[in-house]
Amino acid sequence: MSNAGHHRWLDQELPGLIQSGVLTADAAQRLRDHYGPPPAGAARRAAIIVCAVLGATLIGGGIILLFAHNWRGLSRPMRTVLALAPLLCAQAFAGWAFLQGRTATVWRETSGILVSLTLAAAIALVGQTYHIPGNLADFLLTWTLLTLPLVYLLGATLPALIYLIGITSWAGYAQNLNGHAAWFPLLLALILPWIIHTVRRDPYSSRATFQGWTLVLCLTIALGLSLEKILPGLWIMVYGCLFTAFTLAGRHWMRDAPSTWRNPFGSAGVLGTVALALLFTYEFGWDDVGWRYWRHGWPYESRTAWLDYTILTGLATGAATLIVHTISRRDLLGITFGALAPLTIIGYALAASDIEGVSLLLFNAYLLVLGIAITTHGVRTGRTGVVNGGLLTLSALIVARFFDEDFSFVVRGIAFIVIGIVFLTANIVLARRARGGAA
Amino acid sequence: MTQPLRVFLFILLAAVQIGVPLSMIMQREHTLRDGTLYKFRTAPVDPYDAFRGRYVALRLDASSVPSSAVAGTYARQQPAYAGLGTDSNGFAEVTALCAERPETGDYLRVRVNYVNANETWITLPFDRFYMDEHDAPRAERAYWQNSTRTNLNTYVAVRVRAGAGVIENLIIDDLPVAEYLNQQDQSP
Repeated sequence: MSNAGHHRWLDQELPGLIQSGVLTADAAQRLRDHYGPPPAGAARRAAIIVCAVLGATLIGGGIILLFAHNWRGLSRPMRTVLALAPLLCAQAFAGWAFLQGRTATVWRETSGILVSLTLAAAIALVGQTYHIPGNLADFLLTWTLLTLPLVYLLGATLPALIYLIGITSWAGYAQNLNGHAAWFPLLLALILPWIIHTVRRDPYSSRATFQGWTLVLCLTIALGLSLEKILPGLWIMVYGCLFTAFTLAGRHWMRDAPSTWRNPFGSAGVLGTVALALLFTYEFGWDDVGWRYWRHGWPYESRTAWLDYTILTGLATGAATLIVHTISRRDLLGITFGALAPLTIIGYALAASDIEGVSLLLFNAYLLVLGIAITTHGVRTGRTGVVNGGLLTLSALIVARFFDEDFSFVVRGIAFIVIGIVFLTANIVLARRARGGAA
Repeated sequence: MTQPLRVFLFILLAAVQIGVPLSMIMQREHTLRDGTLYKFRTAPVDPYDAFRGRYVALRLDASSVPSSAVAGTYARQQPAYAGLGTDSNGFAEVTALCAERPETGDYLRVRVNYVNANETWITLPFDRFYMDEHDAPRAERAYWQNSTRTNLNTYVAVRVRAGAGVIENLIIDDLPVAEYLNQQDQSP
């Protein structure tokens, strides 16, 4: 986990710690010796990787665009050569780097992205030459499945991101075309061993972070695209369990993350929980849900509805396990966030029984409790960002209710001023406390 | 994983990555070489595919099959076999739609799109003709300028073999579309 940023921080802190008597000069030196010299040229290496990857992406993308122009004068044999030659070159480059033992990130990522994009260009050009029918879904499926082994063989991150984005796009097209994207969980399962491997190796590495964010975003989008075969409102519980699982997994396995960015599951879970809870304080979130509104006919595929129930059961089981674990750790903030999953299930059952008014009240109360819990946690740990997040949650609830209900301008004006004062006061108090602590 | 195994798997992957587009090519070349030629009457429109470029989408007359030619009942997206024949004008038509592979004659593997009282709509295994990005909109315009209710002479020439159909060319006013557009360029 040692990186230039941590070394810089340590170098800045040590003189102050010696001056205030927390550490002796000897102890400070021992700390410096323990962590060693800062890694040489880390920034330069990162810049080389970014430039190389960008270059490879532009070359691959350029080849696809040149082929997409569809040159009129090219014969079929010439098109065959054109389709396969860039792929063969990219494979030769990847093979050469592989055999030479060039395992540095820059080689793995560059060759991975080149092979993946030239493969896309080859399949696209063959499709174009022979006017092969079919939608983008078939194309994406073929491409992403042939890209997947690159992830495991080269150990490259970018093909993994291409795969995740590819199967998510496929889910959207397949749902639209066939009425279901039943293969999505299986396609996702194919990449999970790799993601688990990278997280286990170093959960806060750039690789694990990028993959983590892509995974949470893709999963969130793909679930929305592929759910709801016949039972309206099922998404309420599925997303409730998903965001609970994200938040608690992040709090459990990534609680030492150096920043919120490095904890994609926790951060996405918190954002999703607040957004979902806010949405459920509105009546339209609960309209026409439940078993009294079964859907029939195309495109609602009753044959594949079992998949929805399996996903819900799986997510609910995962969320429940994490909630039990959070309770046993007496993590109060975690328990508050974890309440989302059971509350969405209760809210759904109430709305489906035609008493959605209680569901609305439930989520208004929940958002209030959540806002207070986040703010209190921020104050207790002295983290201004968390306090502001909590106050923002409370403000969102108050503002939403004020636009929702028929309050006078005077009352709204006063409420807004009060919220503003609370924001400013909290920030000033925390800033003073932080200065006091530093002095 | 040992290094020799990794090298073997890498070579295997490279072979599969080359093999997939290559097998796509070989199947189509076989059909183009040995397939029977059919003319499918069409109305082209001009959409866009992010990876494969511009194409002329084909609205094929043969996509609707009269109920009298349909054997059995079908659900949406169910695979079926469309037996082919030609009408009095020499254009292809679906003479029978059945769930089992026909033992004689040419046929196409299709999917049932939807069914109503009079017709069954099917998805034929060709629905687009890729063109140079400048030519595709011109081809669409040419079609609409040259087609009237009494003179519908735009069609796709398709080679059919063993249930597969591969488009050979798009014909407008009895000329392959590229030639037609060249002629248009040269005419004053």
